[in-house]
Amino acid sequence: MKHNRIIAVILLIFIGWWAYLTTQLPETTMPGEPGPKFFPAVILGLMAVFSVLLFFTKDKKDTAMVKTDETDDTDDAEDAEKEVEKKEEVFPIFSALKLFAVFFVGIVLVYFLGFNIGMIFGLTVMLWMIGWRLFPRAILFSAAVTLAVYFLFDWLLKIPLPKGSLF
Amino acid sequence: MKMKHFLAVILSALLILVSIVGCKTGGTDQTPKFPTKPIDMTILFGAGGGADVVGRKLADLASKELGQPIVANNRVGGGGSVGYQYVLNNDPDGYNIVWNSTSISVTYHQGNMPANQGYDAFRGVANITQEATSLAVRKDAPWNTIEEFLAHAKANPGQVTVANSGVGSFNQLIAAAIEQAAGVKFKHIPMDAKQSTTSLLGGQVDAIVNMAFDVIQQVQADTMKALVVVAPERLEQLKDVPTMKEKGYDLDLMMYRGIAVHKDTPDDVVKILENAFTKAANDPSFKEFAEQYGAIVDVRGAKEFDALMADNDKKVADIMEKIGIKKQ
Amino acid sequence: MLDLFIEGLSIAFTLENFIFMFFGCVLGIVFAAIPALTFSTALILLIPLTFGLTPIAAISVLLGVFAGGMTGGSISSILLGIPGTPSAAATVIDGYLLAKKGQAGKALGMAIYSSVFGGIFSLLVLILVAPQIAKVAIKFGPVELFALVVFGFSTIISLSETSIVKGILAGLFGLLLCTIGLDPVMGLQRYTFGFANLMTGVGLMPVMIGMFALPEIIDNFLQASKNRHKPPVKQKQQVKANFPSLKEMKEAFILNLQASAIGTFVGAIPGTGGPIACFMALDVAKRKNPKVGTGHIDGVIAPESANNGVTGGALIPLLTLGIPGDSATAIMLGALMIHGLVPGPLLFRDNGALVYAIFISILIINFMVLAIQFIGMKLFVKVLDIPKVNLMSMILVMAVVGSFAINLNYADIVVMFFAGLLGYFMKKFGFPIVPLILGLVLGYSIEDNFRKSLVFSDGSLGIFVTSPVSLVFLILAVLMLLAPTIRSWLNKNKAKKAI
Repeated sequence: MKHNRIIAVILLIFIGWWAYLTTQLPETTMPGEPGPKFFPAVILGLMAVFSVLLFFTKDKKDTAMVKTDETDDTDDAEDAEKEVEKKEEVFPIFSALKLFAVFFVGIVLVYFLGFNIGMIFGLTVMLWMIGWRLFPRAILFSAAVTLAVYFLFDWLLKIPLPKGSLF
Repeated sequence: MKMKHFLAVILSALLILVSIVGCKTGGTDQTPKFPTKPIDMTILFGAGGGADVVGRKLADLASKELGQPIVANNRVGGGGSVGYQYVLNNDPDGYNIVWNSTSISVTYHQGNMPANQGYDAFRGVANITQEATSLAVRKDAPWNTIEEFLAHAKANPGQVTVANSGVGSFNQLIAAAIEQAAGVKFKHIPMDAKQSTTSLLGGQVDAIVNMAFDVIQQVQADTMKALVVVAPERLEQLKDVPTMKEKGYDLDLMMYRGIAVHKDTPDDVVKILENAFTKAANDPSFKEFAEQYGAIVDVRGAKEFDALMADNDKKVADIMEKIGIKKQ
Repeated sequence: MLDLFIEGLSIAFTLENFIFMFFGCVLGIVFAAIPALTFSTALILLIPLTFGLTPIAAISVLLGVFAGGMTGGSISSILLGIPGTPSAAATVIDGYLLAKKGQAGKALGMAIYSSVFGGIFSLLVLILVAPQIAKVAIKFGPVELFALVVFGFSTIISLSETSIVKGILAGLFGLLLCTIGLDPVMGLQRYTFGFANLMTGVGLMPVMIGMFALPEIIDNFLQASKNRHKPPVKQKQQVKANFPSLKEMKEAFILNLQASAIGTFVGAIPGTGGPIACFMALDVAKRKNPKVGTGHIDGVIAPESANNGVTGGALIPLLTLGIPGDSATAIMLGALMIHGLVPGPLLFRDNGALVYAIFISILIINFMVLAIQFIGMKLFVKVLDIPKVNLMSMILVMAVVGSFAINLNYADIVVMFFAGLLGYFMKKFGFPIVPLILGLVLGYSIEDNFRKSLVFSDGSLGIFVTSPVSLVFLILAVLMLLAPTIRSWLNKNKAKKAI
């Protein structure tokens, strides 16, 4: 319930911003045609309505909900009564975000230093973070995967993977 | 277990070594002659279309002349803008070429290219083909000549529906140009290249303006009749169809396709490319191949291609101005 | 006709042809099965190679990739929860849940059987009534297409798992993402902030890869991180290729038939494509059996029959009119023309034997896919024996390559990343991902056809009501969208009466 309210507010702010962008769009020059603004405007309107609805709805079964303050060792706390037998464990969003951040750095490095360096870096750090404390092992595994993919695509299939803009 | 680890270490070390060596051989090209590594050819449309296939065939033939592979890569999107900017963002060393067409002018004037990146941000290597357009109606339509059709359009201004391949497509420009030349008013329906044919066959529109090739197929299949062709001369496959010029209208703009590079590419590199591509395009097997796709092979050197691009740009800008879609 | 058939038979039944078909099928299955690669990539890579082949060999290899690709997409959907192709996005819901229940073998077996069923059904339609279907298909102008696509979008109601409001919001957000890039009618930039790379729009594949693969990868990583102090438990997934029993086939028959018909017909209409057909078929299954969506085999049968129904369906406008129904057939059109064969009405007249050879090849290909899949399945499930972290690392690298390789556009990698991030949050807060994908698939067509229709009618909305086809689809769409409200209202009334 609380989460739905927060999300609804975030969505409404987003819709407002997008609506502002929409007003900046040019008008159509074709007779009869509603123009580039029309379709986004309709979607935004509908989204606003449903966001408000979301604000007041309670999910039937909030199965996949996560409480951000949960720590690592609270195992499958809730959704015991779920009818589907997926005992998905719940992880703190913060540690997921850390992994995402590292992956993003890797992607940025792909742009500047090329596919190989970027991916080896990103994957190595991610593996290290999840407990592959042996650096050589993490690096070697990342390198093996990345280079295998590189050879497959760049050499065999002739798909030019990013070489890095700094080179 | 240890053995496994050991093997993994060796293997990965080897992989890294090879990759470093691989980079070295690719990176240090001090040899003076121009292509010492594969050339990247940007194609602005999706794989499998006529223009894509002709471009690939040309690349195949030209790479034999150059002694280095020319790899065709489809960089699609933004009306060609994505591919054009990719080429411009790379070094002007001749290793990035683009399968250029009239679309550079359209995309630029539509405002989808940065301000200083019009047709003249590129320099021509060689013009390869030209493509004509044609106005066609359904087989059972009441009009048999372009005069009858235009007379009908004149009597019913804004009522005759003419499908084209979308706003900013070459066909839309030609449809608008026909309209202006004849002093009539069509109702233009922006379709896409595929849908415009179906919309005519399905009876949703009265006529289409499409690339001559697409029309020829349907004419041969006896589902459409072509009323007029926009080209300097009649087309071989549509011998009985008059051109706009014959009918007294000053309109013979065709869509060019050719190879272009970044405008700062050195002359000697352009020269080498020009030789290779003109030779490839003059190859009889290429001519035969391109004709299947309705393209008229019209090989011109770098200088003439530059002039052609400039000339077409002016004509395109003029039409776009008149129909109100010119932004810059 | 018979002599043409025999001639076609002699063209199709050559060793060379068989080798190429086999090669195509394997390639298609492998490319589609690897998350982040699609068979479209395989088709593009093959084009230059087909220059040197005979026409029938070239077509065989491409058809093999097409048919193999349509079935292969279900493999990673079911085993990993990451659809291999856009068309397999509909299979992922029930397929992955079945796999979690330990019924991956059953799901895979049924998926393959249903695929081949759809393939052969659509082939029969192609052979028997192609010209008639084509005549109906070309009547679908922008007005009818708009209505059809809106109807397709209304299936989000069935796809919304826990909360309809959240499902609809996700679907609408998918539609909104489609508006980034060049406007479909005017070619004007919208929400691009001046970036050329955004002008291409938000691609379906990068978003799909990101939304399905990244959350799965991250969760698995976190799982491994938590379990790192525990001794590794070797859990061998015992997945056997279960060919559905005769009884199961009988039970599935009607649904197979319906889904295949949907796939074939939707595939035959230029401008639609596989994903729409699959979602419509899934919706039919859901309405027949409410358990679909919680891991029921019907949720695998319907989309898989439909997506292979599309293979035959898409060939109808290609062969009869020379108009490709989707991107895969567009590539095939190119390949046919390389060899001087111009699809269209003329093809049947001038190259009748070749057309029959193509038909026969498709039939062979379908059986080949069946055989290869059943043998290959034993290999594919071995993937699950790879330690999860290692497997997910590989998928992570593939996700980057896969999103880049579609348009060779770096921005697609960034799109993939943010889609993944968003997907992670959506998953955590109970927003279903599939409706968003559906919105992304349909958004462009909805807007494009709507605006084109209004150009026809000079801005009058009446055009959607005066076309009977459009009217029917729109009424159906409204009924679907209102169905949950009506149902709950009826239930309330009943409850009141009971008191």
